[in-house]
Amino acid sequence: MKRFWWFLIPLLVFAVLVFFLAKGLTKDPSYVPSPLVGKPAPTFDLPQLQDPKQRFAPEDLKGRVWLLNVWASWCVSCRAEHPVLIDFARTHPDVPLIGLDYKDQRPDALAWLKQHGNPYVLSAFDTDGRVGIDYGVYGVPETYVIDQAGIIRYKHVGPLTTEVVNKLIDPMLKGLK
Amino acid sequence: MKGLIKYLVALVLVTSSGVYAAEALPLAQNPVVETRLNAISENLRCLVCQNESLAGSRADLAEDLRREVRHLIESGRSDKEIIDFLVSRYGDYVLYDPPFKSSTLLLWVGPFLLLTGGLVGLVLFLRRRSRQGLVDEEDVPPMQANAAPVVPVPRGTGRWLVWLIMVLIPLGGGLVYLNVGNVAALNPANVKPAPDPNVMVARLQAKLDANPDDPAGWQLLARAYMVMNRPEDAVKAFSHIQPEIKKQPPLMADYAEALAAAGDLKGAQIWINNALKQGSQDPKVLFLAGGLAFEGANYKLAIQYWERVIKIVGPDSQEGKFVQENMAEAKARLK
Repeated sequence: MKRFWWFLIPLLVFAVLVFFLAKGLTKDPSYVPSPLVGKPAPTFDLPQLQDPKQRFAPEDLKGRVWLLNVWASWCVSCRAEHPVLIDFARTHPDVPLIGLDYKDQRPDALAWLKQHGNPYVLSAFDTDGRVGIDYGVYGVPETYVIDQAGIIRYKHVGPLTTEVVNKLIDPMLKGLK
Repeated sequence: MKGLIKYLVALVLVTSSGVYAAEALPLAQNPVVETRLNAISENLRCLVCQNESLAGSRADLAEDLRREVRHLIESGRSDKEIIDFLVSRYGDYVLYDPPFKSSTLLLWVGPFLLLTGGLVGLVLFLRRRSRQGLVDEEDVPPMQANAAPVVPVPRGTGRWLVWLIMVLIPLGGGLVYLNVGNVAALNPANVKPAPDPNVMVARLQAKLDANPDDPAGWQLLARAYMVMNRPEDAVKAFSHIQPEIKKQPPLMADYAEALAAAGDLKGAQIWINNALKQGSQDPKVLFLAGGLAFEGANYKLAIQYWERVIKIVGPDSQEGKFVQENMAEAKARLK
């Protein structure tokens, strides 16, 4: 009987190891948790993409729940995400979707929106990427949910999918209202 | 020769009427900033290519972040403030040496737990075995008819070997970590990639003020001030060792360089003349002589001195090329 237990120990160790390795496989190694969640959204004041004379600052949307979506015309995943954003803008008229055009050229960005459609209420034009650094952007596209008090509630790295919108963002927006 | 380059850069900085004076020194050329930038970014992880440090990565974001760190250094932030700036945006993840706190507990303690578990297991196993006799009967291969008889291992030796291995493995691991790892990183307050040059220089200054009879110290301090772009302080440091300077033409050149950088061209000329009178062939003396002649609009003389510099350092060296550029400028002015 005693021998039997001894034999079980390596098996247990092996099971634990398999559990952690399997868990590791399901995780995205490029995902870096953001320290900004739960903190006030960094402030900025940038010209708008479509009309450089007009500016946008996050304070403009104080009192409202809104989404900040970091995108660029050179970003391939943004192309994949785009239909989801168009759909989001159509189904969520009460949640302003603001773009942050990150390290882009104005003509390229404008042509991109013209070709694929513009889901954004407006896009702020961050040509040198400095605002991106304040937001901890390290891989476009990224999406931030910002609440009435201007606090970042959620950050999504990588393209939004319908699943993410339905399972994560929608319940969060409901909770914030 | 490295000193010459530094000095050349400094001279270019101060030549008030030269073409180079029109544009500020690019940030990338300020050696103090670059040294600190490298020291800081060596210990930070690039978020895009996660196995590379911020210093080594060529990713777009890494370049942006280096630019940002450079600006922060320029604006006089301390290393800790700069690291906090990045951690507040990208999290502890950017640190190659994560601080010891609840979320990193497993990271720091895990290996020791595994090691302890392994050792305990080993001890239990070996005890059981030695109680049963060192070698189980089943483990001994069946003897062949004409094989040499198996030499029995004396019990004592085997046990000693086991204990030796058990001590050596953790000890070796610890030694490797002490060499390769960073024990100080356990406490986030200790994570300082590089000592702040401002602090080091201030310490040296205080030490020398208390104990001024240290020519080598003053020389070091003066050079540090020159690299840090503080020529007035360098002149002050040099003034403590005037007797030594009078004996050594290369030191005269250093002093003249500091004087020129601080705006005292006349003083610089006096020391350079002194050095020339002593027949100095030091390239720095000659280069400065040329520079001062250039400042006095005596371009012909400047070219003569610079030609001598090139003869010494060689036209293809970095310094030689730099001098040639200056000569081309002087020649252009002659016309």
